[in-house]
Amino acid sequence: MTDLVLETRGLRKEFRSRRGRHVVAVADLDLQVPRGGVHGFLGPNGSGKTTTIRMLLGLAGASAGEMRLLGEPVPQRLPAVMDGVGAVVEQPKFLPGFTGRRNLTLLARSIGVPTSRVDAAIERVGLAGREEDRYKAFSLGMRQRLAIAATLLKSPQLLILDEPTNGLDPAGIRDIRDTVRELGESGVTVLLSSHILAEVQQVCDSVSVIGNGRLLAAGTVAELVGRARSGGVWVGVPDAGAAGDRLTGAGLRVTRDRHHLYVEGVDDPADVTRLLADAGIYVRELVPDRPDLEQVFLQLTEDHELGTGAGPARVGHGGGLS
Amino acid sequence: MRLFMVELVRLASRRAVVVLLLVATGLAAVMLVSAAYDTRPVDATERAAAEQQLAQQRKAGESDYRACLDDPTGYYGPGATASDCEGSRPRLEWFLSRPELDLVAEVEGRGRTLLALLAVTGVLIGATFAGADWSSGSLTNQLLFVPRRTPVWLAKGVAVVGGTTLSAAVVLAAFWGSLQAVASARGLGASADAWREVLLGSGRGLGLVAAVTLGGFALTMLLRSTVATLGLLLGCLVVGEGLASGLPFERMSQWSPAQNVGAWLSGGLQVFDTSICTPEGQACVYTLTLSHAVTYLGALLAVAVLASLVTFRRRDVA
Repeated sequence: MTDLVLETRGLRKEFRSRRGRHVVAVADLDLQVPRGGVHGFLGPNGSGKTTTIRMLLGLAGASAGEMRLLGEPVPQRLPAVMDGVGAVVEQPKFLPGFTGRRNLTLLARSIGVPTSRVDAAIERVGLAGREEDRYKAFSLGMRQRLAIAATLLKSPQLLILDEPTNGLDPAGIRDIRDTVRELGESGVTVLLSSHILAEVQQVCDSVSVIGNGRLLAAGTVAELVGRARSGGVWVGVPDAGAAGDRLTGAGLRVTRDRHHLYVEGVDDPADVTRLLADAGIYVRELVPDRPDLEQVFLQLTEDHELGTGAGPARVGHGGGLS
Repeated sequence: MRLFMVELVRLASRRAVVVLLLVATGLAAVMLVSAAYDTRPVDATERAAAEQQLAQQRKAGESDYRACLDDPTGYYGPGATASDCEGSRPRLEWFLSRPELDLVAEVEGRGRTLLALLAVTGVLIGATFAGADWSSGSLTNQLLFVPRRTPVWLAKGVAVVGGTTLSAAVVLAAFWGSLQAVASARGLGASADAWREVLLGSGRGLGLVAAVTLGGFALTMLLRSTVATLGLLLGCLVVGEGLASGLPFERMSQWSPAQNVGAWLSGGLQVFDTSICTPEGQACVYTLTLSHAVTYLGALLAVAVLASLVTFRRRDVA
């Protein structure tokens, strides 16, 4: 049986908006995160990722359902569990008038962690030398790193990061990505919530995709990408018109732009070169359009919006709440 | 205890809190200087001018005085004696307008003003301490480290109330200690009774500071905004006083927050209320007792604290 660090079953969050509208933010969500590595928590904006995380961390109450962190039921056992869980929810939140170090020192004292660990955490996220600056003078990237440093004060088994690269420049995104990857490799399980697909694909070992508060799919990145509908082939030829006619005549679906043809329904790209060579047209460029996580994600969310999804597609770890 | 110590450090490190305490201390110092100046000993020039005025007044009233001595009963009625005529003659102290420094008088005067100032400071500190947590979002971060809401609320509350009350005690001690030093330097000793008045007044004042600080903190934890808390308190004060004086029922003034605070500080208060006047215009005064003030103000505080704590335990934190 898989060792799960995070698990929800039938998790639901409903509330009334200020205009009195009944809103279902999370709808019967079953989520499972196995121990080890980096797990992506993927979904478009407003899909319920942050609400789910806030419920898991006791910041918001669930309307229904069960949750477990590190095997313990939450929120009932949250005080006991949180020593092993670090989290950054949305934007980092510290006292603006205090220095980075003072903010961390106060948090360390509040949980009885030796303040000597503050320096180690600051060093680890690359903030050494800036820790005596006031928090309000920190850049967004520094704030994110300080927030991650705060989570490291506890030596967590599970790290929950909610959109940690939001608003960062490319260098900042790379830094955070490297830190997350490094943490994942060091034995900490990281749950990385994001709507940035490239980020998830580069960093995560496994992924859960949600949309409209429901789980749409779960599994390793490779498994999910493998499940995607196959892509086509980009073909570069000197005479796109003649080539297009030839391929269409062979029963393939062809669309054209100025220099390329996009050919769909191809089982083997070699079929395309053979068909065109037989007609005296020689291929200059042929690029298979491999599905990536973005396509998977768009297919899943589009299917869900159209109502054609047949429940969550789960790959790998299964089973109910233990 | 760990949480409490952390909150104390946060309280002491908050710039707004430090500024508010410095302003309160500065104003207390101004009041101290004002008390010392207003009761300063009369110098030789002032005494000479007063003696000159006395001589002029006595000279002007000399004939009346003589006539009174000749017939005291004609001036003051049956049984009057020459001493009554003497008593009505102008005296030097009438022209030396400054009173001597008197601690008991200061308890009701500047001492009361200082307590009001410290109470306002307490409300502001209680509100801004909690308000900063909500506005910066640092409370969310704190709850991720210590996900026990009741202890977090209590640690914050005890820290802000304890820290503010202790600071107020230091300001009061400095104020009264300095006044006593001034009095001693002028050769004016303060009796044990006078000190009892000072200590009793200060003790009640510190109780008020603690209560309003707790109230400001509790309301801000409930409303999640310093401005909302101050607006609500101002509104309640205006509406409360308006209802207490405007509604056509007997003794509505007993529900006036200001009157009850006065009763608390004075250990009971004689209140003038036209709703209980007799047709002859007599007996318009009743006593607002200390126990009434404690019950009424305590109930208001308890409701605020309970609502704040229960809501904080249950609500979603952004």
